[in-house]
Amino acid sequence: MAGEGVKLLGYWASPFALRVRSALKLKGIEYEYQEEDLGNKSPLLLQGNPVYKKVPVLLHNGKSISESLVILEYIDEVWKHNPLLPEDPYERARSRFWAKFVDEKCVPALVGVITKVGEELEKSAREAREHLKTLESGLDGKRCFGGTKIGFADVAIAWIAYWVRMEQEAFKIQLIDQQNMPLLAAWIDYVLEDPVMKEFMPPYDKLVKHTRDLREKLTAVVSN
Amino acid sequence: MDKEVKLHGFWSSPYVYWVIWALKLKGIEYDYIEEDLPNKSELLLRYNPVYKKVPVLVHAGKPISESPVILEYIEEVWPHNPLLPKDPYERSVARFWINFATDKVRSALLSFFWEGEDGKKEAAEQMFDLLKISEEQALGDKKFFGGNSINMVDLIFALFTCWIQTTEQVVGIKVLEPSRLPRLHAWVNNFKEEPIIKENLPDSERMVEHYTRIRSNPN
Repeated sequence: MAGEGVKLLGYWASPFALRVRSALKLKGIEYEYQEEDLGNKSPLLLQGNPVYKKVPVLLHNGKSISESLVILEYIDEVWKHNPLLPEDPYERARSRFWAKFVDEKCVPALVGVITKVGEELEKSAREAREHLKTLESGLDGKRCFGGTKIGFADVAIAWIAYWVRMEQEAFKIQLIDQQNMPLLAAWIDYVLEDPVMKEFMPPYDKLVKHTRDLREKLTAVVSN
Repeated sequence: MDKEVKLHGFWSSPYVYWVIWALKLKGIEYDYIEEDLPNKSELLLRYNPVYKKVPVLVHAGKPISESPVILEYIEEVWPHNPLLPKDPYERSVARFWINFATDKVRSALLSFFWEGEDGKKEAAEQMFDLLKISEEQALGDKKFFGGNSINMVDLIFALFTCWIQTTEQVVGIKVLEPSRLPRLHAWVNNFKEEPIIKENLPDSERMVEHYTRIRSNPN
């Protein structure tokens, strides 16, 4: 449907698509969701994101927006009710800082846990633990990154709650330590219980299997 | 005189220049503190405990780190002489390219700089691919990434000016040639001629000397 229609191109296991789904839900925006087959990307996706050809892509008023954090900023600017970013510019900067920290530091380490073996795996797990500890400092003693309620940074970071638990179970390694990171552990519990945040999280067992399969495929090359 | 806005920086860092240009384009007065990078100041470590890097902007005593975050902050606190478009879609396009430059271009430039004799040709080709995408899809037929005048996207793509030029000299391979990338090459010259930018560029000889030294003594 042309004109006002909002459409989201996503993938069930993508944490970046999850961000956008949660944001749209928090704002009560109606949209059409299209699940992409990543092995056979749709023309809409290829045209919508010609540079990266990746999900998520938001289509609105015939235009396409790519990159999950860019999409979140767009959503917050077009639909101003239930703001994701705080009002104060300094607090906005803090939200953006922590969202970027997760992408720059936590993502590569958590991906490393899936893709590496042996000593390299140990190194990735160690880095992941360090970065998660640093992430905890972003909470600044509060219940969530947005303060008392879920905001931009929480939406950007929430998937970590799920993925960390999933990787711990799938690969029998420790990433979050209740004793060492009590505030972050509490935030994880809080986020995983939130009805909006948990609505779009992928089915747990399906994600564990998917990640284990991915790891087998990627590390088979290394082992041989 | 103690100003309300302070910037901790380092003379050769492109990320610091992004902030300097934004502040100057908006006519914001600030105190500049040059950090001695191997010996970072106590203040810097306190203001940016996560990354321990420059630039750090301090406004009314509150520190902001990470240059793209700093630029968005400056834009919000001092909205005159805007550096981002007004329209949300246009802003999303600007932010997309800002991410592209800070993420992909930056890492390609670092690879291009650090690769040894064996890898440098491939690193140069990868750099060229990104330059091509930037020229065709981000710049297009416009004079500047921002249209008729420079905006935040132009500031970020300044990686394609002094920093790529220095790297080309130090590594010994040219990538941004007028024959291969005519519009981007023209943009480089137009950007460097812009008022404020022109008066605030690092000295090219000093850059080549500095980066040559770093490349042979990484520590």
